[in-house]
Order: sequence, then structure tokens, then C-alpha cells
Amino acid sequence: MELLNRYVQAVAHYLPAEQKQDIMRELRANLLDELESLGINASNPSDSAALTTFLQRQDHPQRIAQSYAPQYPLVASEDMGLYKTIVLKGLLVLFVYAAVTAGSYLINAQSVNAIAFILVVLSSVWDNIGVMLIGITATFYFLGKSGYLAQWRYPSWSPETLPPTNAQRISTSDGISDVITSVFGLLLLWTPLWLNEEAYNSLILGIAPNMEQWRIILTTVMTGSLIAAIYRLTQTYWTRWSMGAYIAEYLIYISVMLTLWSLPPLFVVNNPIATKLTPIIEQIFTHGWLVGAGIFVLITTSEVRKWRKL
Amino acid sequence: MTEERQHKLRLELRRGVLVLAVLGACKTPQYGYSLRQHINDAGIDIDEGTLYPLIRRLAEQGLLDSEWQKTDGRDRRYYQLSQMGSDTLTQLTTDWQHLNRCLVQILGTEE
Repeated sequence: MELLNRYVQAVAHYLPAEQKQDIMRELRANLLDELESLGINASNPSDSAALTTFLQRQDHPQRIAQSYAPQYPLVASEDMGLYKTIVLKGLLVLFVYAAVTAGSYLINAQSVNAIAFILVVLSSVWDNIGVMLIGITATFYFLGKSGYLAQWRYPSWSPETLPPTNAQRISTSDGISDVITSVFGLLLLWTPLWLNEEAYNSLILGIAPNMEQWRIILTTVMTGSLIAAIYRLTQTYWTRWSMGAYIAEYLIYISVMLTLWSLPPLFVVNNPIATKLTPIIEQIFTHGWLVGAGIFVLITTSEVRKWRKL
Repeated sequence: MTEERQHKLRLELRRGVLVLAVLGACKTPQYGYSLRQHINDAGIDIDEGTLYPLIRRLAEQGLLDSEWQKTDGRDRRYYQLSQMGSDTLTQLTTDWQHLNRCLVQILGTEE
């Protein structure tokens, strides 16, 4: 009987607390009936070999527990694709945030070297990754349980609303990237609002005092991008006007970058410890705006070609 | 087709009728092992790892009523059709008979 009890106890280990006693009782009763039909006495030591063979033939205790009390995943299988995309994008944001704060930290500590930088970045990502994963998983769990995700994935439709044969699908992954980029940009622009005073004072860069109006201009542009990106997440394919609006967005970004390239520096080193970085920062941003505008021109050209096919 | 693949297809076919078989067998009170014997004797081979969790699930869904009884000196959980289970059985039986007629036609045509 001891072997039988050990098996039932092993199954119980994997059972939820509220069902444990009831399932154990029923499992034991079923196993005793099966043993009786085979002429095996669980209390008889001479039947221990037969009992061992019988229990071996049963499934692994964890599988038995799962069959009696199935555990449902936090994220439904049909949502896993989107879940993975958001986790990966979130990781990217964590790395960028960690790189920015690591740079500030190391300059303040006057200890800038590649290995220290990598270690601080990894440490920062490690500190925050748990919270990120819990937040994303909890969001998916509650949205999935409420049925909202299913509604978003399978909205009501009719044959007339199906995309035309030459339709170009809007990538959900790109849409999520656009949302995250806009939110990140807004957070960077408005660090005084959410960063604590000590951390804010340790930042290397800040907007030049004579360029403060650009904080509002860029906020307006990024807010518009964010709204457009959120709207695109609700659509499945491009239309002429939605892609036209997307191209207009890129044209606005190109104009902003070229304007910033022609003006005095937008970002300046405002941390006395890092003043020796000022020429480097100026060079980066002077060329950076131009390079950025160039890249956006290439992207816009590609989008215009797609737009003409619609 | 491999033997394993074929075996899986046969299991899938059987899985579809198990709920009907269990509900039909539970018109009279049954405990786990007796139910398995009843279904096996009727020609449907079902292993305990499939049947016992299934009858618990049907009970949780309200299709079976259950109570513990002491018989032959041992506690056993007896299951029997509830009113909802009886209505469901009637519906599933009608569906099964319809499917059966359709399949006879299809398979008869194939021959």
C-alpha cells in the first residue's frame, strides 16, 4: 500500500490546493478498483512487483494531475505571436533605456569604459525585465480572459469589407514599434515630469535653453505619430489615404530633421562633468540629423512606390 | 501513412464519441471502474487515463451527478446522469444518428 500511497501523493503534489483532497480520494478509489480487477493486492508484499509494473504503466504523476485538473496558460496559444512581438519590443526599449542611463551613470562616475558600460546595461535590463514580463503577461491574461483580445483579433466582418486582392497588409509588428518609439520619444522629451530630481540632474544631455520651443514642436509631432500609430493598429491593410498620411508623417520628420540640422544644436551637454563631450555630441547631432533625414528619405521613397501600387 | 499516425487518427475518431458513450452508460449509477468495464464490454476500448478525468469534467459541467458511497467495504464515487445530462444525451443521440446516416451514405457511395 505504501507504493500506491506514494504514487497518489506524487500526483497530489501537482494538483491545485482546492481540488487536491477530492481528486486524491477518487484517484485512489479508481486505482484500487483497477488493481482488484487484476488480482493485485496493494497491501500484500508478494504483489509488490506486480504493483510496481501496474503503477509504471500509469502515466507520469504530473501528467495524471494535469489530466484531472488542467492548467490553462496565462497567454492563449493564438495570442502567443503578438505576445512574443511585444516582449521583444519591450526588451529593445529596456536596452535603449539602460544604455542611456548607463551612459549618464558612468560619465558621472568618470569611469567610462566598454566593459563597465556593458555590465551596467545588462544589470539595468536584469533589474527591470521581471517587472516588464509581469506587466505584459498580466495585461495579456486579463485582456484575454475578458474576451477583448479575441474581439480585436476577430472583429465583425462582411465580404464587402474584406481587403481587395492587391491589398498590402499593415504589419502589426511595425505598428507596435511605431507606438513604442513615439512613447519613448515623448518620455525622453519630458524627462523632468517623470524622472526623479537626482537622476534628472545626472543626465548628460538636455535641450538647449534657446531651443525650448522645440520641445513643444517635437511633442506635437510625436503625439500625432502616436495617434496615427495607434489608429494603424486597428487596421489590417493600407488604403491610399492611410498610406498617404504615413508618407506625410515621414515628410514632416524629414523637414524637422533638416531644420534642426540647419539650426544651433538642439541638445547640449548640461552636466559639468561631461563638458569634454560637448564637441563629440555636437558632431553626432550635426551629422545625425542629416543622416536621419537621408534614411527617412529612402524609406519615404519606398513607401511612395507602394502607395502608387494601391 | 505510419502506424503511429494511423493510431492517432483512430484515437481522434474514438474521442469524438466518448462523451456520448459515457453519458449513455450513466443512465444507471456507475463508478469509475464499472463504467470503464461497461464501455469496454460494449466494444469501445478506453483507457483509465482518459475515462476517469473525463467523467470528472462532465460532472463539473453539470451533466453528471455524483456521490460517494461505501460498497464492498470501500468508498467509491458513483456517477449518474443529471437532468441537464439527460437532455444533452437526447440531443447528442439525435446528432449521432444523423451523422451515422450521413456516413453510411458517404461510405456506401465510396464502395
